[in-house]
Amino acid sequence: MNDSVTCPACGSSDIATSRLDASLPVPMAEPVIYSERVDLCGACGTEGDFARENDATVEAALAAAGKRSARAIIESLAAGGISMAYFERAFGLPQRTMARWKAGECSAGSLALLRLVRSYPWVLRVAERSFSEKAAKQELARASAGSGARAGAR
Amino acid sequence: MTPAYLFSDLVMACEKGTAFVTRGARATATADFGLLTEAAILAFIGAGGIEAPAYIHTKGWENNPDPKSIVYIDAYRFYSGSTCGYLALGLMPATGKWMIKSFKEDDERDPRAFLLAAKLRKAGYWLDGHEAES
Repeated sequence: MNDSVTCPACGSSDIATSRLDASLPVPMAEPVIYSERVDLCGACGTEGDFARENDATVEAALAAAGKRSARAIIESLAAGGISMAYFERAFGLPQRTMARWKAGECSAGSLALLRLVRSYPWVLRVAERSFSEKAAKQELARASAGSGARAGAR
Repeated sequence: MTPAYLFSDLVMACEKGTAFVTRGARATATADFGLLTEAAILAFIGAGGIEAPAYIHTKGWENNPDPKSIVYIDAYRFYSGSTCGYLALGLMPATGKWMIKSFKEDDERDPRAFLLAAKLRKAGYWLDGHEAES
């Protein structure tokens, strides 16, 4: 029984609190494992995080995972021949932006951009040509033809 | 049958933070929609993320411990991008809070999805698996 919280559904204070290891998916990285608070109402059976503790735990874990993920993606791009300088030039980013990302100063937006380029590296060539519609169509067609050729080779 | 609640009241409650998400709904919202925290789920609903909500039915809350009161749960089908979702919600009279009871991907696709697919296929933007390989 937990006296400090009540059930948000029925108002009962008959709450049993436990902790379980939970896993959250992180794109292009290992899943995040965290200790999840689970409140169970003895009166109505509702399960949840009645004290709203999990959000802060999850956000902290995801922030750390995001930093690790950014570093890993930048290293993976470099291994594939995409340098930080090229990336910055193509997207018109200030110099050393990626160095900061790699060091952990990475926002949700920059992480999303890195994941996008990791999935579709040819987006860089579109960006390099000022996102012109012609370039976008050409690169998309080239990428499609490439994946078709690979599928045919299987 | 009509909904027991105004959908806009739920959206407002999510904006104000006077709603909560059950553990099961949170787990499926994470797995199916990538909404990783309870705050993210409520913010998503509060920001109008539930697109084209279509009322399905209203049922009594099966776990209601108070036999003197009836608590209704409304169910909706909705869209978010290309994903069709299912949302079940109710206002808890004992606490005045809104409960997000279910928030998951809906297996029963809305017929509109097939219409859209047909339009895309006709326009050449949609390739079925066997067409893509040929």
